[in-house]
Amino acid sequence: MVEPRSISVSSDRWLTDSRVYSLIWLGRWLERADNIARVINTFARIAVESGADMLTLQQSLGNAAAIRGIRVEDAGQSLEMLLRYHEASSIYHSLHTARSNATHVGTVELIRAISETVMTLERDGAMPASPLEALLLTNEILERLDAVYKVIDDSWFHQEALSEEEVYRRFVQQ
Amino acid sequence: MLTDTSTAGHPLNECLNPDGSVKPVYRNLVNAIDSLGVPELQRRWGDANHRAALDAFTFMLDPREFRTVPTDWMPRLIPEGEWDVISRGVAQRLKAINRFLLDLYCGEQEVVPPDVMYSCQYFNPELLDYRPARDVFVHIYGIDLVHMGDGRYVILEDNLRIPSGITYQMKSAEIGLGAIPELAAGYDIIPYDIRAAYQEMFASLCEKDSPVCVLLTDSKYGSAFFEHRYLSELFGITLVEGSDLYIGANGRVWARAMGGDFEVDLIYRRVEDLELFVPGLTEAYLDHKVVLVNAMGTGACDDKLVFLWVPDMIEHYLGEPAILDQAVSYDLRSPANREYVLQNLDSLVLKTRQGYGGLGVFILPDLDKGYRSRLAQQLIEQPQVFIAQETLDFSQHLVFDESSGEFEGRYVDLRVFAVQNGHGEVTVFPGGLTRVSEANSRVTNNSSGGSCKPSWVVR
Repeated sequence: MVEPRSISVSSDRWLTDSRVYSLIWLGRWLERADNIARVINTFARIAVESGADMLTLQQSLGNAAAIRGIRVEDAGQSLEMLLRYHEASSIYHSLHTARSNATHVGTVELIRAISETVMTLERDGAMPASPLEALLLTNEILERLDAVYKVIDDSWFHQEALSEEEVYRRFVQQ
Repeated sequence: MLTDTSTAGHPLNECLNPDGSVKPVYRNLVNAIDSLGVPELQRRWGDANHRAALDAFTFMLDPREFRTVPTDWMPRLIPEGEWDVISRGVAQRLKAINRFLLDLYCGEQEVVPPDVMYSCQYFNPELLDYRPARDVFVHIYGIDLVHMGDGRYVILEDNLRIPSGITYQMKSAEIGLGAIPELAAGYDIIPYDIRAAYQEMFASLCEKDSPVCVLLTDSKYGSAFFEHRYLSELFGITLVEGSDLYIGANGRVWARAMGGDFEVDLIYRRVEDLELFVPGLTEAYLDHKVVLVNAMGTGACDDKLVFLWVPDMIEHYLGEPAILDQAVSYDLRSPANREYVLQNLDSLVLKTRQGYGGLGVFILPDLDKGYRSRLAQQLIEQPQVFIAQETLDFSQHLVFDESSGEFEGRYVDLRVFAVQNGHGEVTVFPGGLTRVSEANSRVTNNSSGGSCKPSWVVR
């Protein structure tokens, strides 16, 4: 059996109260991003399978947004709000905040993995124009989130995590 | 392509001569850039920017916005001979300032007029008769210089409280070299080891073996949090917030942690108002229950007016002339100086004594007449709040505009970092952080819109 070790990269460092706080919120914001991505993904899949158009998908997502407490004035903006623009309940905001917490408690690899996920929503043309594009985008986000979870698993339980100290050592050796 | 730049005509361009020819030290670099060509250079620039974003290499101006440090990846080259002078000058200045602070708080200083010291916001009378560990006040020192284009560097100001930016020096070099290694071809870059110097400094200040050191940050939403996180990992010390620390029943500093609280021997503090973050810390410090890096009280020499007397400190304490010149500055408490400054407003820089981060710096030639008049009125009413400095026409460097594929001239300064350990040994880290102004500006601070570029000292 592999002994669990501290998430801090160095075994002689402590998990202080503020880092515990960041760890809890890291988990909560990642969970929220994952949850929203799965909701959009499910509605997009149904839309694609039933041949529904974008407006129908947007209206369906309006209900999902309402469950999350998001008031969408224009039903045609539900997807944009859930993906990117809502300050508390969009995937983008959730990942952005998760990354802030990761910078406090995570490893370089975890920060990079979350950043990769954030970037899927920042690139040009990221906003889907059809249910199929929404499906593909959320598939990609969910795959990247899986990569984030793998980094957490690896750094917590298994291999030695990459620290800034190690990045620096490799750089000096070059 | 680089030599085609329309900015080659600036007389103080570090890379190019006024006729557009390349300065000898830059020939290999320019050849490498020309060999890569614009499309490849744009691609590599994109790679470097991507890596910076991935690593959250940030300086946050607004905690709600993720902002990577704007960086121009073309390095600045400093010949070893020039660096040797800078390095000796920085070490000399650090030692003199430390001696002065010891006399100021623990003896009797005779260099700076008492009314200047006592009107200094950061002079801390609570520290009178307090000797810091190993008599070191200044452990980490940042100094801002500008290059006059002829190998001569002039000091603009000292940073002694919580000088920041050393991570940006390291990370910009690491990312730049990783993305565009061809730029280093033909150069022997002088290496340095920040981790070893800091760890040696921490250890030398503590009485016991394996002291427990922590880095105190304001929070993960603070502007320089990347640096705090990076350095704590690099040095292998725990990153703490104010809420993690408290003063225990034994008068020592403790940190709250899973699995049991622990005692702290040394705090590398990256916050200003220590009592706000950790109530009771001043008392613990004065009782020698904890070491602070930098020590309390160093801010007295951050004062822009005290800056005028640093050359005298060097003469007085070290018995030698200052190696580095500093910008000619005017004490505005003197009526004659005030008169001179008021008559020459269009050619001077006005600074508030306590300003930092580019705040409180007014480059008067760059301001409109109305703004200058309002400042003149403030100066007449409160001369003790300001100092004036000559406006220097310092050097420019070239920065690459990714979208146009062209190089443009920008003003650059140089922040050099040094550490002093408990044995009084000073290490100056080669290269420093080159800070780059925005177009049509001379202000280089990141918090005022500036960017940075890697700096290499080359043999």
